[in-house]
Amino acid sequence: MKIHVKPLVGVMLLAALLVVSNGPVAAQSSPAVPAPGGSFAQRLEQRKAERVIQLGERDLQRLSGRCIAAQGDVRSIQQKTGPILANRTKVYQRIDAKLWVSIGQLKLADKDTFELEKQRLALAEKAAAFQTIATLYQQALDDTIVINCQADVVGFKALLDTARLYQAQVRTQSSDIRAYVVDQIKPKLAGYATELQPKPATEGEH
Amino acid sequence: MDPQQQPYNPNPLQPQQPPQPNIYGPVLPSPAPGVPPQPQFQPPMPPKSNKKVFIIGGAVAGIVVLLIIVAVVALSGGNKNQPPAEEHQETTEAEGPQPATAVDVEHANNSISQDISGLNDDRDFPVDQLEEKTLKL
Repeated sequence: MKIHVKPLVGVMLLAALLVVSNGPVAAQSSPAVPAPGGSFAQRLEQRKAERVIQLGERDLQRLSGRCIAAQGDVRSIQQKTGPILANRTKVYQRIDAKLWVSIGQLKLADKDTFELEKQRLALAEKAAAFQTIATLYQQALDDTIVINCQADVVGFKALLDTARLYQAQVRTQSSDIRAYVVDQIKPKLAGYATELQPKPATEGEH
Repeated sequence: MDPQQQPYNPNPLQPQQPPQPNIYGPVLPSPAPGVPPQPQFQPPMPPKSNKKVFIIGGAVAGIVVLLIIVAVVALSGGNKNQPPAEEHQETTEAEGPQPATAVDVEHANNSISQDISGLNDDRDFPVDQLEEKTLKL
């Protein structure tokens, strides 16, 4: 029995090692923010160092033959993504403005707005974080498009993986903002609305 | 006086008129034949002084009319500016922040709901958008 278990454990460990090295993007480390004002070459080296891409000969040939067409698809994604991200930013700013107005009106109505103001600030910070990630995502898409992918297949793959990671972060941040608005801010506003409802006249007042 | 020395008078009943002075000034000698005519001196015309009077009077009258117009415009403008100032005060009071009502807060809440529900992550950022399979790598 023991003779059969040891090879099995060894195979499992080897498989786990392979999964970690070439596994899904979600298992990879988060990309670091590149130095502001850095060049494309600097970012490329940084991404290659972060992603540690190891490709076999077959993969190199396959990617080299298909990467230009893929860059065309990424370009299309990039062109669609710009307006989408800009619209997101506008929507978050609009919500922030509405909260400012509501806070001002609630103060005039002698309501305690401390919690709502804290929530508005937290939402603004989340929106700013979204903006930062969105900018990095767009930068990664740009870099993926401009690289000479056939000359540097590893660099192309590193940049594409980076763009994929940032896209996942954009989704995560967007979901976080939505959840915060729906679960925190909206109930708070609903509570104020309930407080401000005109109280029904009691029978003694008739 | 010797009558032979007196000038000839065709009508001896009427005394001879003394020679009248020339009111237009001295008579210039006529130019000699062959000499080009010289420009003659023209005496100042009396209507020029009248023109000056008219010009000065017109200018004074124009200034007076202008002053009257300015005064009228200033008075009427001042009266017109007052009502808009009051209207402005009224509008600022109307558009200024009002204390929140339940309706206001509900409206803001619903509006925020619309904003946030208009965002679709699956549509805007599909999960498999950048996957190697999607990009046919």
